[in-house]
Amino acid sequence: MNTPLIRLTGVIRKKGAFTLKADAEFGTGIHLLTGRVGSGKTTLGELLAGIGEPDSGTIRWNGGRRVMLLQDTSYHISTMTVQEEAGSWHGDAERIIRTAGLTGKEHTDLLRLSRGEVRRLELAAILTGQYDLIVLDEPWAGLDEEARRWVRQLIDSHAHEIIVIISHDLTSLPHIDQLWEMECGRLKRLGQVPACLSEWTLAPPLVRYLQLKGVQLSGLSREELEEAVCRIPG
Amino acid sequence: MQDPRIRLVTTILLSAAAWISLPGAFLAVLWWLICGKARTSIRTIRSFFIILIVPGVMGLAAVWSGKDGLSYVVRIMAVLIIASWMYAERYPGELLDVGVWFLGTKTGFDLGLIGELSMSSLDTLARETDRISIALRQKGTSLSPRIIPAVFSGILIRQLNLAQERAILLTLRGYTRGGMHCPSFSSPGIDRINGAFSCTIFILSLIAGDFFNIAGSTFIV
Repeated sequence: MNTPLIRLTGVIRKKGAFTLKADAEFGTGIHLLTGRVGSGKTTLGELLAGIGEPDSGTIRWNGGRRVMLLQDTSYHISTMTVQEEAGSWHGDAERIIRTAGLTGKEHTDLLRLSRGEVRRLELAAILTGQYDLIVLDEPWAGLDEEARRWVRQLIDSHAHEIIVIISHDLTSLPHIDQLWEMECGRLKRLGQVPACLSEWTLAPPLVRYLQLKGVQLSGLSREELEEAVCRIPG
Repeated sequence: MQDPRIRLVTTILLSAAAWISLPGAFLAVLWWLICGKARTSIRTIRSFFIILIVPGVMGLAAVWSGKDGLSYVVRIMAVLIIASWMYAERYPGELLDVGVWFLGTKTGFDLGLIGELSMSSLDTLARETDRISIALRQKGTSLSPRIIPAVFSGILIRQLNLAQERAILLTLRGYTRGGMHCPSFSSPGIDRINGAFSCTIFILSLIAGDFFNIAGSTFIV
């Protein structure tokens, strides 16, 4: 594991009857945080992004602290057109629009874009920005297959930052470095992918099936899973 | 206060008491401090002042036109404090409980359902406002009048979508009018005592406000 940038020590966060506990180190690379609905993934993502403080324990940073959290709804939108919105991210507006694949729609009202297009614009702005930590909470929500592929490729090109992907949709992943699992509010580091995959108790059906068939997985990305499926004996 | 029926009556009485007279407003706030344990849904002083902007402007306008604007602001503040207490004390489903208990499973159910849906929308709105504020801060965008159209249209569209989803859900479940609901209430003695105090404050406010003499003209003292 690379030099950690974020260290969570004895972190406890209570929400009514629910308690989240986490001890972890997040270094550079792409982390996948998975777990059942309601297990505390989003709460941990919010703590990492600095939204709310833990009730006890500490979250320490070894460096910069430019954080961006992409939530399941487009809360970042603050202007009316594509051009204005791209410009409002204080980055290269032209690059954001080009990356989002919205060239030619610069003056289109954001309300006239599809949900997927707005999502792409938001993701392009985030992933072309300068952040030390990017937390992507369900980044594929509401996207079609083509847009999912586009998001995968964009995330893959950002392995030099800390990217935490929170998702229980494991069919469209980019290349994953570290696997984390949240179970009933407890954060567990499963380890480096693909070495840790054999110990993944809550693995999705496809991964379990491939393991049952004796296929060695090289990773969790869509391409790696497709390649593994092709190696099913018989 | 656990019993929503007593809480509703208390809120009405204290709000009326606060509105009728200045002594009533002070007594209502005193009730809130002692009996209401100073609970409020207004989480920051900043939020409180934001809420006070409109009454403040109205108060200034009253002063400008030679009326007692200060009295208006104090009384409306007391009403807002009581409203925030009620909002903080409520639990999901209580309006449906009270509606059905009071007006039955047809009109009461419908009114309770409307109340619950409205309260739930207010919760969503509060949560959205928090999320938007965080998202904009992370993005480096400061709150300004320029962003209001985009932010509010986003909120409006999401609220309309939510309303549509709820309407579809109710339709799918066969809702036309009224429904079966069996409310149950926990009504401890302390709730009744606190409710009785609010009745006393209301009566004292009526007396202090010389209500019976000025009814029909103005309630401002």
